[in-house]
Amino acid sequence: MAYNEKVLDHYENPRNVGSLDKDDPSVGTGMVGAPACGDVMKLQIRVDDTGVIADAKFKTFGCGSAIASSSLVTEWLKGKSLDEALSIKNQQIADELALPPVKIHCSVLAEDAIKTAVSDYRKKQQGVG
Amino acid sequence: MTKMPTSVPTALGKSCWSCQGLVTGEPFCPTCQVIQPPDPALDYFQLFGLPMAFPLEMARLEQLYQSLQRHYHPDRFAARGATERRFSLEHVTRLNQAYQTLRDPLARSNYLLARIAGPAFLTASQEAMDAEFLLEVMEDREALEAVNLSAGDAGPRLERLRGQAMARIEQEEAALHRLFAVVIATPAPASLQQIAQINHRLRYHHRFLEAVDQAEERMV
Repeated sequence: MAYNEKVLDHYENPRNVGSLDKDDPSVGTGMVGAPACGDVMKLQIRVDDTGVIADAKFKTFGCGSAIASSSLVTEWLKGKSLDEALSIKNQQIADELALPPVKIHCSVLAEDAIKTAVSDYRKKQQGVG
Repeated sequence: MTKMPTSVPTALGKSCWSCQGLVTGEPFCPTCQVIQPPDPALDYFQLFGLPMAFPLEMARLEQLYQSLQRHYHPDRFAARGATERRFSLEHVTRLNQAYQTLRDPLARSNYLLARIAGPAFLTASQEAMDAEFLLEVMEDREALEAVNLSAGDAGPRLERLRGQAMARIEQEEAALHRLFAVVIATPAPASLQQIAQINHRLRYHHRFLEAVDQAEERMV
């Protein structure tokens, strides 16, 4: 299958690959998987004192579209508030990367990863406060 | 274009397309011995005359496959009409699909689950994976990534990772044996759910093995 240019760009030069300390209370981790294809995606956000996402990292083992989707959202997440982050929909990701219908689930995975990371962060904050 | 014979039987087959004699699911007409179209009502197990079960003796499947393959082989119908040649090809195609599905434990498990629980169940069971399991997958992937492929110990390290994954696959398959034995008799939703989960985990283990293979190829 031929990948779209933007997918290829993110696949070949993924942005923000790596890990943040998952035990840091200012870090939220989202770990999600697509059982049908055996993909696994880890998305992490670091939230500053003002409630803004200061950093985002990802690590994805899966197809090009899954890698591109997670790479793209790390770019989008930086500078956003948590509520703004939660408003990112998979359709925006799919549109931006021009994902074909069979790869839509990769963008769904990225959206799920954001939600899971935000909820992990909020849970930690409640625990602290 | 060859014209389709008008008397081609549907589903279970009532009359032979060639002689109009009675056919009750036989692949060859009992009256005129002419090949019939494959019966879509037969599942992959029935195709081989095997009981619907997860455990499967590979040697036995192989043997049945070879013999059926010979039975339907297009070479045997080369001198026959277009319809017979086409039916022979359809039989062989279906036989190959069945063989490929049954010989692979994960494909077999998915197929069995779909037969027992229905395709709707499979779609519904695509829910989120257990976070703890995903963490384990991530750790394995990172351990694989950390192997320096040009170092002298790369081979043994890859083998260790492969061995780990194979042991997990073996464990999951043993659980499938137990669960399917129960579920084929009584399809309890909780057990079906467990099988779906195991199939998902197996997909991850196989993906991991593929990644180990790829790493090994890059090594040499």
